[in-house]
Amino acid sequence: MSSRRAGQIAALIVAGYLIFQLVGLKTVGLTDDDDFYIPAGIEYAKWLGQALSIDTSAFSKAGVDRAFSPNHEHPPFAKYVFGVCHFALSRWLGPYDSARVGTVLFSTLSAALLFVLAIFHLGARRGLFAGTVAVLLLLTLPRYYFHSHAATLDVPVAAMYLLAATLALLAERRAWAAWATGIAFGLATATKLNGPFMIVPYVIFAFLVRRGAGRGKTQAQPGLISLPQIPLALVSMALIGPVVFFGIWPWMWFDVVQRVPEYVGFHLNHYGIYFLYFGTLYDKNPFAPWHAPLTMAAITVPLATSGLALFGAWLGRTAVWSRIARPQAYEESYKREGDLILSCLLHAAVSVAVVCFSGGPKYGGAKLFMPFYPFFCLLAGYGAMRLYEVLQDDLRLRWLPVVATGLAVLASLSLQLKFGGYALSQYNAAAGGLRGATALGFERQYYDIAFRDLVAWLNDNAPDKTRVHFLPNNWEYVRTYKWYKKGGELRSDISVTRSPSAAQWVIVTHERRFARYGNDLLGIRDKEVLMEKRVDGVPIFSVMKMR
Amino acid sequence: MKATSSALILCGLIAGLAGLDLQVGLRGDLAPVPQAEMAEGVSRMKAVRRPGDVLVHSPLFSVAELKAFGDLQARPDRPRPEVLAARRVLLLDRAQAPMFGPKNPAQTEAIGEHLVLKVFEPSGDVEVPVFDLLTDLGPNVLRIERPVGVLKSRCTKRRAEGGWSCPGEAEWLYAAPRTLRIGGKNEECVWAHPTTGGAVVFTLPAPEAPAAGQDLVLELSGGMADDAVTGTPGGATVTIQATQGSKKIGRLLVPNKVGWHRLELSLEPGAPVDLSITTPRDGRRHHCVNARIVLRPQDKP
Repeated sequence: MSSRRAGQIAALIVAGYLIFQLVGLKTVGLTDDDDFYIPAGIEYAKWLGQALSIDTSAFSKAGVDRAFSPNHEHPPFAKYVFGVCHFALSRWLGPYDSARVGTVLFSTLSAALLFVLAIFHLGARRGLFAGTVAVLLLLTLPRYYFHSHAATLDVPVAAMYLLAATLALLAERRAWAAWATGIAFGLATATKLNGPFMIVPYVIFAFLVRRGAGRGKTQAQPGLISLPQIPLALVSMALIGPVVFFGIWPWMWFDVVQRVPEYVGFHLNHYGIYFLYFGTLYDKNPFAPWHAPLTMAAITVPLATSGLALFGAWLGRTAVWSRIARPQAYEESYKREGDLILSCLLHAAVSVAVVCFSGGPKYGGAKLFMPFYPFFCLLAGYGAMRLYEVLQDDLRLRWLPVVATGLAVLASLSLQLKFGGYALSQYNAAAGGLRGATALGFERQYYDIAFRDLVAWLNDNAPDKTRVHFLPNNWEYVRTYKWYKKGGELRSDISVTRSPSAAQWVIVTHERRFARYGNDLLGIRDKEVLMEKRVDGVPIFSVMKMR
Repeated sequence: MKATSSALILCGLIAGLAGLDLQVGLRGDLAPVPQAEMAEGVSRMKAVRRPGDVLVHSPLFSVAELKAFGDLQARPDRPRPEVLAARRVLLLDRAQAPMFGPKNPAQTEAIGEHLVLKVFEPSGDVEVPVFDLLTDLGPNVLRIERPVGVLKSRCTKRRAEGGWSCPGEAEWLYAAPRTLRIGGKNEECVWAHPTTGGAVVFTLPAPEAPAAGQDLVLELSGGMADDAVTGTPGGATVTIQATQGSKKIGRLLVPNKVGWHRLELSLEPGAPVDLSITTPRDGRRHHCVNARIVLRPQDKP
């Protein structure tokens, strides 16, 4: 099979990925972060319009501050995309789903990049196999799927991180990619704080595979501390990356001495966010323990996906070790394979380790280490491919790896379909599903999701001028329901009241990370239950009639 | 041959792992607990309950299932180790999905098909609580005096958010369990916001005479929410005056400082205890109290 042919098939699969993502757009409820990033994106895109029409006031400090002060604690790249999508698509999709198409596009980019990595490093046929499995597992990964629909920065940074990592790896063999790496790295850094950490695994990778390539000669088996040739991609990241980062973030153009430390300081001293872990509530001092992100990954990624990824890492060890021990030996195709697996392992490990060990906050289930997932799925795709290769010559057994991989995708899909718009409530069988995880003391949902089936139910059932109040954290729903009203999705006479005593209906969202939840239950349990949404037997929200 | 065998084993493992998740993906919902069974579980919990016990229920119960608890102050929160060490804990759990946390119950009782009642005895020195304001809070425990000594309102009206409000008084004067950030920790306590020109008065019931070798002790603590302290420089001190019968037995001052302030007082049997809470200026005095009457062995310091 030619690379061109493989590329065409891959493009078709990526198109399918995009369609599958778009189909889910209206099933995923707004999160509390949507209300930060969508308005900011709209302001940034307006500014972009001004700038492109050479309106000089856009470039003044006042013009920049006016446009970029909303949500200036996070860099702007993804928000530009949200804003542009909002203006391009809101006529058809409404004010928020239009912006969220931006995240779907980032997610689709991550799927396309998995194919690029796989086909370039494993060859057309093998790469198409591994890439297809990786993309299917990514598509059916419930938590990645959810975050692929929220106008937040987690999937965008996963995609931009992956783009920078892909180009850096291609740059080992293509000079143009080295310069593009600098641009991609700048964009990743300008997406979210996970972006710049991409340089850590890349430097480790470059050191390991470039030993012996310095000083104009190659050594088949260099010493461990032989100096490597400095990669052009690293130079590009160091020189072009900061130019792109500052160039696309006008907020940093003025008062830079004050604003850069302000940006870094915000994240170094991040306020606490509640996180329920084995029944204990954490926010700050201390944050959750170091192993919390690893546990969250272990109990949320479908088990067979994890199994395939671990087998992939195991089966790829020879190629990796060959690349480390004798970086300049072996034929090119084997080197490429080793590069791919080594790179995936390093990026997957570092993107989780940063959250585990950086001393920063740990919260929000799996959202803080989204860049981990594409690499992990690619390892799983590679594992499936290697299993197939071992048995492909045996006509009686060659179907077994295909069936096992098919079952892995099916299992992932079954979790995806079961949890649907409740994907942040999804846990795998290791935790006993959602019911087991809830009993174990994990959060049954987070991100204060304003579920859309609840909105539809309210439209159908609430009497005229109903005032509702959410417990235990009403203030987030005041923000998200405002969007539903603006988009015409919520009846205009229904309002979210700030005072529970003024509400006719109280909606309990059963978020145990709020310490008041137990007391809230005591206060409402004698009221009439109008509707209760249960997933996997676990209450997610209950609508209570107060009077 | 070896590679083929390994690949076959790996395929089997992947299929097995997929099967486990498929089982989760395709299974039905956890069956609701029948009302009769819930009622039986709660009735058993009440039967074995002693004063001062901590009552816990599974986090999986729906609100409809929780109705069976009535006014019983049970919560879905995992008891902290220090609570397990000092208090007897009763847990009404789902049999199919046991709650994480307490281990080695002293007593386990299956209730119907879906429930199990577990009793955990305290692992540390035993004090027997005979009254705990947090868990025994009811209507008529709080009253507002305005001016001090003159009854203005009895707090007997149920609040939508839980607890009891005081008719004719401001909405922020009420009795309810709250969770406040005190001393950097989320602490369970009873809301006790003082009011300028009046007193917020909790009445604890008259304790019975202790057995020989035991003392009756009031463990009293008061604290203000951390942000109320840090955000109100010069905030006024709150005073908790304890009176038993007509005798003033002690006074706890809660100054504008982060953290808990504590006092222990000996009690006599047979007379109720009033905790009268006052302050000269009530601005941002987000104050909260805990009060327990315990039977303490006389040899324990």
